[in-house]
Amino acid sequence: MNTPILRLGLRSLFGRARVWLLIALPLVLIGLSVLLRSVSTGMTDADAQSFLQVFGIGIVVPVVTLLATTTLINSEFDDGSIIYLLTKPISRVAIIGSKATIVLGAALIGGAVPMGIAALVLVGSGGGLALAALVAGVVAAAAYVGIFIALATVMKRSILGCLLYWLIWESTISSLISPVKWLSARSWGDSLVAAISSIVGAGKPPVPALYAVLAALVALVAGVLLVGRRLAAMTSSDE
Amino acid sequence: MSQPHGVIHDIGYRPFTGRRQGTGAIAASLYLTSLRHCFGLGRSGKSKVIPFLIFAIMLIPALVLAGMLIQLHKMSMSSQADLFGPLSNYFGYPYWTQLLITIFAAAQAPVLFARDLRYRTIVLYFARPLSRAVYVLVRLGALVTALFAIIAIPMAIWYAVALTAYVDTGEQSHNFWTAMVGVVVLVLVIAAFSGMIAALTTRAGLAVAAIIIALMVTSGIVTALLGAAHGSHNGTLGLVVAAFNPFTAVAQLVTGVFTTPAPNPDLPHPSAAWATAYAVIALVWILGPVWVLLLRIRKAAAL
Repeated sequence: MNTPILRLGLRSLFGRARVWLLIALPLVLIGLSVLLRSVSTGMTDADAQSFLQVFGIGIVVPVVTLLATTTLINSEFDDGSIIYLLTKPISRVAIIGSKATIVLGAALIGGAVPMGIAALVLVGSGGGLALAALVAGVVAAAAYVGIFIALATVMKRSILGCLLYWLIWESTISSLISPVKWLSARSWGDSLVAAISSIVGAGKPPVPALYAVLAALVALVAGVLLVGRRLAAMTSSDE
Repeated sequence: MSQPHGVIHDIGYRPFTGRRQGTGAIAASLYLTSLRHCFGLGRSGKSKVIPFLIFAIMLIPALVLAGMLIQLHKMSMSSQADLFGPLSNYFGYPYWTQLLITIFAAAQAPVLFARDLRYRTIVLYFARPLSRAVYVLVRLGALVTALFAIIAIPMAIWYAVALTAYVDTGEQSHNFWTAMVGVVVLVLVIAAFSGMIAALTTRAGLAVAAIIIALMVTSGIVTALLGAAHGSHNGTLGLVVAAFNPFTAVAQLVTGVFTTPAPNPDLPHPSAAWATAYAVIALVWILGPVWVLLLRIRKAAAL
């Protein structure tokens, strides 16, 4: 961890126009929850839970994480300004660790916390759905941060790589082929929502909750270490 | 001999005395080039990968469904084919392959609309007697043709197989031709919308991401809301929500106007009034982006 890099990261994330995109999506989530709550009288708690799983875990958390990753990592690689960080005498794992911390923070504020609020709006405090949504949001955000920063450094044209990963692997293949649930950040989040909330008739968690938490932690740590190693092996002369 | 009027130097070159081609020929050649560029023809080898890969993947579901029809026929079970809804739900095909269609549009729209604006080569097009409106419409026409080809060719193969498999041809034909109408409307909407985003962002990489996010995130939001509305038996909410994504809006238009099966069970069946409303909505989805596109191109060419 490195304070100046944290500060730079915060400034580049919140000092641009695209911060509005980051704010818009959580607002849409909460707004739609208010709408559903006021319009749909016949909505059960199980419906609310599956709405949070499909929209919150499936869209808001990954897209917010993706936007934050793109701003903090991709654009610095694209315009070459990453070199100014790499030439400083700071451990490169610490550089990427600091960046990952900012991305994770943005994902928590823009993804996990709005999910908790949306759950409160939809069902109130009953069934523990708010806590479940918050925890699941945190876990899914951690997993997505690890995956996206790894993809963002490894692949070229990485915005597209991350997007296609999210659309093809998380949204399409994991819903078609069931064993993929063991390797999908989305199903880890889904599992935690289902495991923590005590709403009847909402379906069983796809994978055990403990596995989901551990897998997300592994994804985060492995992502940071992988990117750190890759940056450490990078020399500034061959570009 | 008197000098021709308006000539500064006559250094003896022979002038062009042949017939000059008009706007029609320019437009036709721009259309053909744009259509070739949509499939990466006349571009680098790398840019041929995505269009042809997507076309190949698009063929898979249609061929599988066609194969199932043949198999039913071989097992003398053709009469039971209408028990299997997907075998005649033709509009379900573009609906469930929307991710592929979106990726194709997102990859090709910037080629047609972003690069000319980004590198200011657009002024060279307008150095010819080609109006801004014709340029936009021709480019859009090429994108529409390309999108229509990748959707309609697999569907036509599937339909041709269905006709040879002695199933209920009346139902198959009805569903196929109404789905074709839907596909035409759908590709008009997708082409206009992705062209608009490409022209507004102008950076190719950003445009691709923006188009995918705009189409797939609204699709995800609409799907989640449709699920919630269906679960709580709130038909009106479902009908309103479906208007906010091209795929659901056109699906509702097709099912409402022609009473064909809905591609997604969460979509509420629209009444006649709602079908008219969806026709208006589809028109707004087409004309709005085209208008923005025209304004954008006019502004770029004015400089």
